[in-house]
Amino acid sequence: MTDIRETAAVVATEPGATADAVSTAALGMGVKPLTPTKLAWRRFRRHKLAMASAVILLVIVVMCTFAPLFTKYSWNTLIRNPSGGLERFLHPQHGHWLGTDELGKDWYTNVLYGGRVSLEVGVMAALASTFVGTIIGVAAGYYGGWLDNLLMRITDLFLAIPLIVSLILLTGLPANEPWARTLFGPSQSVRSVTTIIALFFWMPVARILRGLVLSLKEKEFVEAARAAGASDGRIMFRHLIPNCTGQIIINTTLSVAAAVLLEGALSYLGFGVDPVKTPTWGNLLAHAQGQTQLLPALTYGPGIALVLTVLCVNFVGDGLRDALDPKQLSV
Amino acid sequence: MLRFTIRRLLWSIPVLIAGSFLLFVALHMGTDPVKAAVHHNVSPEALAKYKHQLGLDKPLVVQYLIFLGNFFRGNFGISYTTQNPVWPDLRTALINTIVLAFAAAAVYITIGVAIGIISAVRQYSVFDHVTTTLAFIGLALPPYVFGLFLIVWVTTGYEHWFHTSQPLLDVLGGVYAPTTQGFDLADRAKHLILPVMVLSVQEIAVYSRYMRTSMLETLNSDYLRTARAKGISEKRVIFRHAFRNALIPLTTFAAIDLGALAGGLIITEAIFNYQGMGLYFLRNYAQTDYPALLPWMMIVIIFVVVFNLLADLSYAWLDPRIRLD
Repeated sequence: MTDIRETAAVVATEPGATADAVSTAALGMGVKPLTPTKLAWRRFRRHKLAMASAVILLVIVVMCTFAPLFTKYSWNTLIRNPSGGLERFLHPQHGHWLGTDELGKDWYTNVLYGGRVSLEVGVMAALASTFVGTIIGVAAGYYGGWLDNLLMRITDLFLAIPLIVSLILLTGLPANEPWARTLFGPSQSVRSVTTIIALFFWMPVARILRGLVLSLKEKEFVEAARAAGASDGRIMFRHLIPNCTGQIIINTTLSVAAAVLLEGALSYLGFGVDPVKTPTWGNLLAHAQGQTQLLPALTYGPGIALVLTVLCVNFVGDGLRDALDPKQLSV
Repeated sequence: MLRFTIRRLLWSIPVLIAGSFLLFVALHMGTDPVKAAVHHNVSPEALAKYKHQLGLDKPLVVQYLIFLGNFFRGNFGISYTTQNPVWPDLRTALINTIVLAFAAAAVYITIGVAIGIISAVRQYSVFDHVTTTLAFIGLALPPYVFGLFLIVWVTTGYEHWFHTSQPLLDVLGGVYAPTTQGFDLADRAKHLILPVMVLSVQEIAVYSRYMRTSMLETLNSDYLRTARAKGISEKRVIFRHAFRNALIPLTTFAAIDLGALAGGLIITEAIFNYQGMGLYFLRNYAQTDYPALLPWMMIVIIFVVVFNLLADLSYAWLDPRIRLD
């Protein structure tokens, strides 16, 4: 924290600091004023691993999202040789970068299409759970009293029930209960897996935001807002939540990594997305395990893609923590 | 301390009841043990009679209370699939999981704590940077990826690289080799190697990071400055003063973690076909065997709740500052 700009950043992220205070602080030192976003970007760029990870992650996301541009097959195309026979168990080679499986499906194509779903589940589950967690945490912290007590006890309860078991039990619901089908979507669909994972991911965010709001609501700017006649809703959504943006972004990022891992675990056990309809990294790995004797190389593609993605997301999350939360010195 | 203990104890009862009730409801709503009968042209009357015999036609709350009463009287019931008492199978699974969990915990806590201390004492050294990066990689290696890679390397990879037809470990899965009769420590230990490795990789990463943070916090505290100012040697400062205090938060963390292991080894056990609690759950869930599953759930939640309780109590006992009212 020797940099003048860093000092300005601390002022900027301090709740209640006005833009004027930042610019005077910065201008006094003869430096052009920078917005908090620009300052955060500057700090993020300095974190080399996070920058490299962001680039790799971008490549992975682009390749998976625009999968049809990077492969000439579809995930369920069966590769045939000129005489019409199926090309089964091809070793990794030109044109089939990761080989083919026991049915003759191109494995590289499957890894790309699988990544689409894994990333989608990860991102959507993280966004949904952060949204729910934010509302619960802010409400508990702001209102306090019996509501806080109730919400935090529910949080404790959700943390006490074993995660994977609960998820497996919930995946059984859509097949038997019509209301669960409306709520979660058809059984073993991408939507149902996303919803079920999101249901068990809001607790950490809720706890963190509750803590933040507990300290923020005592600050002068909240008192000023209340004195100016702002309603509870306005104080929460216009004053408290914007001041928690840094934490919210960091937590969303880290939940993406955790949700991708969890989707993999569920699909690996056969309770995730239906492998017949949609490939994901998890069910590709489960599929590859059955073939380790014949073509062990099949495990590498989805395995490395998954690990690399999670690793990069975590590094980016670490970089974001340094960039958005400069008060918290990395110990 | 007594008041704190009683309050914590009382609070764990509703968590136990509510948690097990939620799982009970989810299980009964998501599965139907007589579903298979539909495919066998069983008349609805016979089906209803069968359900009545099993007590499945009663309201869920009543079924739950009956189960709870039976469970706490030690009456675990008869499995639908094997028609044998549930307890012997469940006991074997529980013992196997406890063996695996404690073997793994001994490995990863020792290594994790050691790495954490060295990184904290030599902050920003090469060792610190390397272990920090490795910890990130370890965190990103879930059991179902690392376990699979290990299986591939230990079998096919090893044979390929060393030009041999003998795999590195001849039996990968299970608790014992099929030929082993009775208890055999050497064989038992051999079957633990891979699952313990798979479990340890992620946990060492978690523990070393946790220990490093905790140790750094302690090392920078005022009372250690006083200790140093009094002229106590650095070695004594680190081991007598800092290490012991830095372990306090770790104890809590480890207790919660161990409690969760009772039901949380599902993936590792599935990969290595290790006959523990996780595999027991998967097998009986596939069969919709309620009498086998319900005591399992109860035991898993009891483990979580009891270890959480132990964590809180040990924390309050070790660190008098947090004994609130």
